[in-house]
Formats: sequence, structure tokens, C-alpha cells
Amino acid sequence: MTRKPILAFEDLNVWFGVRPDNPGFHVVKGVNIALKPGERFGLVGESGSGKTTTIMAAMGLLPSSAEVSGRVLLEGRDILRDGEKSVAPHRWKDIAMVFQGAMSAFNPVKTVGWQIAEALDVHNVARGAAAGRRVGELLELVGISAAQSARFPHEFSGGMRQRAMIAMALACEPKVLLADEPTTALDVMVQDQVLKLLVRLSQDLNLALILVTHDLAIVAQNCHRAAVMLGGEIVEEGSVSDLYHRPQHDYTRKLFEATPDVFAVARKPEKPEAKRTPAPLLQVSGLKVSYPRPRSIGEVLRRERPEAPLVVNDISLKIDRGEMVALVGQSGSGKTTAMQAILGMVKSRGGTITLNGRDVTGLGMRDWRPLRRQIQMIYQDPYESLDLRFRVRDTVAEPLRIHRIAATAQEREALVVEALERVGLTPAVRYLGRFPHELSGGQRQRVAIAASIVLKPELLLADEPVSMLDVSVRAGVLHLLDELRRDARMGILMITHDLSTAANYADRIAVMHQGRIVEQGPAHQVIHAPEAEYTKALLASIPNPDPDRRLALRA
Amino acid sequence: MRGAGYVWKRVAFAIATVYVALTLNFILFRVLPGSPVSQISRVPNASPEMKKILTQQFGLDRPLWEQYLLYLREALHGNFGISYTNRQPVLDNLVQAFANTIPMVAAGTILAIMLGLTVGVVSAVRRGSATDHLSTNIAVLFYAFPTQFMGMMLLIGFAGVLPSAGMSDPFALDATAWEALLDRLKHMILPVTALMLTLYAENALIVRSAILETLGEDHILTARAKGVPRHRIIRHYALRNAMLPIVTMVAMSLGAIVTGSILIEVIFSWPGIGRALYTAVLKRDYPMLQGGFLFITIVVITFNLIADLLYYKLDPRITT
Repeated sequence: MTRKPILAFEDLNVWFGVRPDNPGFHVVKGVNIALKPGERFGLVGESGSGKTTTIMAAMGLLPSSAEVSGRVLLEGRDILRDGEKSVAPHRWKDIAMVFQGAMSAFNPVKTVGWQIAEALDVHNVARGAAAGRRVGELLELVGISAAQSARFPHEFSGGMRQRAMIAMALACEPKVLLADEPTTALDVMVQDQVLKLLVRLSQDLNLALILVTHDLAIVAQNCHRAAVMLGGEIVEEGSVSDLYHRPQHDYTRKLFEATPDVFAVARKPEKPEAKRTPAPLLQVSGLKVSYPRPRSIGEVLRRERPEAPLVVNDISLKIDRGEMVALVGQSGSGKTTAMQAILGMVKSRGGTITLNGRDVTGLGMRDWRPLRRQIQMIYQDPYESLDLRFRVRDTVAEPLRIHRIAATAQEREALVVEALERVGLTPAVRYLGRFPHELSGGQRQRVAIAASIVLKPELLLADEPVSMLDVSVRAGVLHLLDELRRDARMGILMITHDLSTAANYADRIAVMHQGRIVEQGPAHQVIHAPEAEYTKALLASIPNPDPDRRLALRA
Repeated sequence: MRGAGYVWKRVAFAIATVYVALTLNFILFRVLPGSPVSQISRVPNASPEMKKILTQQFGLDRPLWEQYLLYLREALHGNFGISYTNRQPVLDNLVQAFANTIPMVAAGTILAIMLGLTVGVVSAVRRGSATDHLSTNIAVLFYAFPTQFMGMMLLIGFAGVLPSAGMSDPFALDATAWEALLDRLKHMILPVTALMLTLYAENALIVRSAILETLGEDHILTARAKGVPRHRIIRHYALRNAMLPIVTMVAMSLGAIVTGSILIEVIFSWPGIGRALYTAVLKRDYPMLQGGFLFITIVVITFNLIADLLYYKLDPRITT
């Protein structure tokens, strides 16, 4: 490979908020990357590692508070030399970008076609009827029919929107495409389609691609080379195969260890039947839930009562003490609704829910109250689930107050400390007085878990407990749940979209699709001998951190 | 067409609201103490016979539901009764007063919206600059001034230079149409300025924050990366999306203008709807008040309907 690099970062540094009296934050530190034509390069790092800032610098899109040094060479010419004046001509014509927020990257009040045509217009590529034809071609290129160009962004699904975004990025035939977490908000099967599209386009059009992501598996499957960023620096760079098989830096190794490999699931020893109590902790059978929509005036007049479609259709689940069951499904599969029905937050339309042998189906709020001690929730987003004005002590003590546990303040404090130490926040004294904004994401989630287990519940319902966390802290939180299951013998129902996480931590997996459980069984069996077509499709679309697996799976 | 049902629903909803207001208006004046008869017959030595005749004449001896139906029928025909003070039909009084108000209020509001939009856009785009600080602080200052204070200050400052009361010069008897128009415009300057200054500030602040919010959205970044020029981004992306909250808030404040004009019209002796209501309150002119309340309700509902329909036009995401 002696081809000249098409895009090169040379000793790129970025500072934010530099003032005469303030050194500011040094967010990108001496980054060097050289990208050859047609090469796919992965830039991996966790939030705050400076990976997005790096590629934004190449587009000249950093906020005005940023200070940049170093060079960004496009075909050998420094495009940062004269600031805006030297970057502007290359934007979109030579370097285009696909953004993370597939939902909000389009202007919601203009049609998709208008927005693609605008790119052609401002760069004098095409106007009028010619632009219309070109928009159609671009959309067809990414697998969207040309007729859809008159639609508004909200009429597209998430995957379609991201493909339309790619079409827009290709409008002026750029040589380099920068993709910033292009699939983060997408379901795993849609993610797979979008990534395949990017790979195909980069091959067909000889397009150099920088793929910015936090997910090593995505890089391993789709890129030639990759760089791992930590704290603004590239700590390791190499071919994806070298990074996977011979990581040099501890952080790279740690990242790979934290990235679950769905096929690494081991057969767990069957628990002896005798240890099980006769009545399971939670038994759900034939659960049905629907959301009735308000009837239209016509329907009221004709006295029609249309059947609302079932969001949860006849699902059955069983959780024993000391067991973790994962309910896996894509967004919209009904998994969260099922959980809310189990909690009695949503009315069920059929089926029974038994908790500890007691039928709790259709129980009123008042009757539920004493039962809430036995069943607690962990939410997805620890940034939302904690009250920002509550100190850690108050957050964890609140359930105790509500259920009037602990007679004295000392006793309560002791229980709070115990819960905090249980979730690994030791010594607890250091955390008691803190506010959520003084904690990291992983610590926040631990506080949320402490608030759930302070009542010593028997059943924990965890709704995507790690999907908002950085990869390296995920493992810690999942290990904690695993410990609670093993040591405190809690039953855990974990809801997740991520089959790999489920495979590595759950005893049993239930795969949910369109309101039904399509497959249920021990984790290793679901992964290694899937029966349902849907499970097979899901497994085929999960990126694997081992780059050599790509050949086997991607024919 | 996309959600024609939406339009019909909004219109039906507006009509239903007017009907409820009409009914409440009826109930309100039955519940209030005192009746028109006791009001009119408060002349010395009013005989019981006279009261009885008056009660019959007003139809107050009939059952309540019949009074209600009668009221609805007359209201639909535009008959809101006779004003106690000038013995003219209430509708005629209201229409006359409203016709006097509209040019003044419309001019003031439109100028306030234009000024507010300009100031808001400029300070949002130059966020944090001296221009932004200056214009935002001035807007907050004007926002804090009560209408009557602003009116008084203008009167004190310009009373000798510009006409300060009424809407035409009573001594210009044989003026040509052109001269009459000029005279009217001159009289409008002070009240319109007062209205504009009190209203623009709120608009400017709303526009500024709405645009700042849209400027932070992801699609703005997409547009910048796409190489869309700055002025185009502001027009097609920031302002276009900011229009949604702006339309709602401006329309809501428009409804309040009719009532808000009471202060302006009293201060500048403008013979409009605000002053008509003010005098009606002072003189206990119940038919005028009843008609006036209804009128204001209808104006507010109409503006809200317009806002809803505009919103629908501006935002393709609305379907129901």
C-alpha cells in the first residue's frame, strides 16, 4: 500500500474554553491519522474521549470557543490553514458527514428530497429537474425508492432516515465520509443493514470512511484499521485483527473484555431441582396487554368498539429465586409494556401474574403498595432516574421512609450505608452527601440500584440497565447484578435489546418479537441452537468483536 | 389531503367554545345580584305597576329555559339588546367601537411583531455579543413597564407636538378625505407607539429564546456541514422551526390585546372597544357589558383557531 493518504490528521490538538487567565480543556492531544482512499478506519472511544471533536475539526465545525493546532491535510493540502475560508469549499464536496441522531439530523419541516436537493443547490451541482433526478438516484442508491423524496423526515423509520442521511452525504460525490456513531440509536438488525450499506458504498465508490463509535465489535466487523482513543489521545492504532489478537495497551484489552461476545456463552450447570421452592418467585402466564386508543367520532356514533391491537400477546415467563432471566427484543417489541404490566402499572387484558404464589393480576394501587417491597425497578437512564436535588443519602433512604422501615434515623442511615456498600460504593461515607451531578454515570446507576435493593426485594426488574453507560463501566454494573442474583438470591428480570449482554449474564433468555415470545430457553441453547427464524436473524446481525468471524457470518 | 379532519375538528371545537361562552354569559347575568328592572326603576316613586310592566317587557316573567332560548335566538340574529346609556342597539355600538379600535391595535401589533422578530433574531444570532446584551436588556425594561406608565410618559413627552386625545381633530370640519386620513394617522402615532413598545419586548424575548433553542438542534449542524450559507440556515432552519412556538404565543397574546387596549384607549381617549367597555362598567350598562364580553371571547377564540390552523400549515408532523 503505497497510495498517498487522502485525509491526514497531523498532530491535531483541540482546546476548549482557553482564556488568558484559564488554560482551558485540552480535549484532543496530538492526534495523527492517515486515511487512504477507499479505506475504512474505526475511531473507538468512550464518551468524552475526543473522538467526535477530532472529526468535527476536520469539517471546521467546532464551536467558536475551540482552539485548534496542527494540520488536517486533504490530498496533501492543509484545509485548516486559513480557517473557515479554507474549509468551506471542501465541506460536503470532498468531506461529508453522517451524524449520530438519525432522529433529529433532518430539518423536520422540510421534505427529505428538498434537503438533499439543497446540498446539490448550494454547491452548484444541479438545480431544478436535474436536481430532482439526482435526488431520486441517490435515494435508490441507498435502497429507498425515488418516490419517497416528497416525504417528511418523521414519515421515515429510523433506519430509513439514516440511509437518507447517507444519500444526502453522497450528494456531491465526496472522497471522504465521516460517520459519527451512525447506528447508535438503531435496532441491531437495522444497524446491520446501515453498516452493510456503508461498507458496500465505500467499496463501490472508493470512498474513505472514518467510523466513529464506542462499539469495538462494529469496528472489528466493518473496518480495516482502527485507533483507540482515551482522554483525547490515541493510545493504540493498528489493523483490527492486531487490536483484537495482540492488544498492546491495557485500555484496548479492557475494552475488548468489556465487549460481550455473544458466542462466548458457556453452558451453565443446571441447578438441582430440589433447591427450588415449589412456587416460583414470579410466574406470568398468558399475559396480554393492549393500549386502547380513543374512538373517533364516527366510531362513537356507530357504537363501534374496535379491538385495540395487542402490544403484549400471550406471553408466559417464570423467574425463580437466584435466577436472572433476560427478555430480549427490539424497540417496539412490547418488552417494556410487559414489564409495566408485571408491576401493575399498566392494566393487563388477559392472563395471570403470580408473585410468590399470590395472584396479583388486576390488583388496585392500594393493595399493591405493601407488595412493592418485594419487587423493585432499575431504570435505563441514571441521568433521568435520580432526582438532581436529592443527595445520595436521601435517594437511597426514600424507599425506607415510604415503607416506614427503620425506627430511628441511625437505623435508617445504617441500612443506607449497607446498601451503598453492597453496590460497591465504598466507603459509603464518601458518597452519602453527594448530589447526582457529582457522580459518574456508572456511580449514578449504582446509586439507583442501591435505592432499589435497600428494601431487600426478592425480585428486581431491570429495564436496559446498562445501555446508557460507557462500555468499560457496563461490565461492572452487570457483575453487580450477577452478584445480587447469586449472593442475595434475588430474582432478576433484565430487559435488553442486546442479545450479547443477555447471553453473557442471564440464565435463561426469552426472545420477544411483535408482542410474542418467539423463543425461550437456557442462554447457551438459545444462542447455539436457536429455533425461531427471528432469533437466527437477530444472531446473524450482531457484530462480533472478533474480526475473523466476519468471513464466517457475512457471506 | 393530510388530515382534513384536523381542520374540521378545530373549527368544530371553536364553535363549541363560542356556544359555551354564550351560555355562561347568560348564566352570569342571571346569577349576579340585581336585575335590569331594579336598575331602571330606581327613579323616585317607581310604582309596583311600573316594575311589573318592565318585567313583562323584558320577558323576565317567563321560565328560565324560555328566556335562554329567546336569548340564543336573539343572539344569533345579532340582537344583544339596547344600551342603557345611549339607547342604541348594543351590536351597533360594539361594531362602531371595534371599527375604531382595529386600525390602531392592528398597526401597533403588526409593528410590535415586526420589531420583536427583528430584535429577537438579531440577538439570538449574535448571542452573547454587546448587541445581544443591549437589546435583551432594553426589551426586559420595556416588558417591565406597565402600559399605563408607558402611555403617561409618551403623553408627557409629546403632548404638545402630537395630538394626545381622540382620533380626529373636532375642529377640522370641512377637511378633505386626504386631510382626514392624515389627521387620523397623526392621532394614531402616540397610542400605536405605546402599544408597540409594550408588546414588542415580549415578542422579542420569545423569538430570541425560540431561535436559540432551534439553533442548538442537530439539523442545524447537518446544514452547516452541508455547506448551507449562514443566512439560509437562519431563514430555512432556525426561523422556520422557531415559527412554531412563536405563532402559538403571538396568537395567544393577540387575543389579550383587545382587553389590553382598555388602558391605551382610556389614556388616549380613543373611542374604541376598550373604552366602550370601561364606560359600560362605570355606568353599569349591562347589555353593553354582556355583548362586549361575548365579543372579546369570540375574538380570543378566533385568534386561537387561526393559531391552530397556522400551526397545522407550518408543521407537517401534525395529523390529528
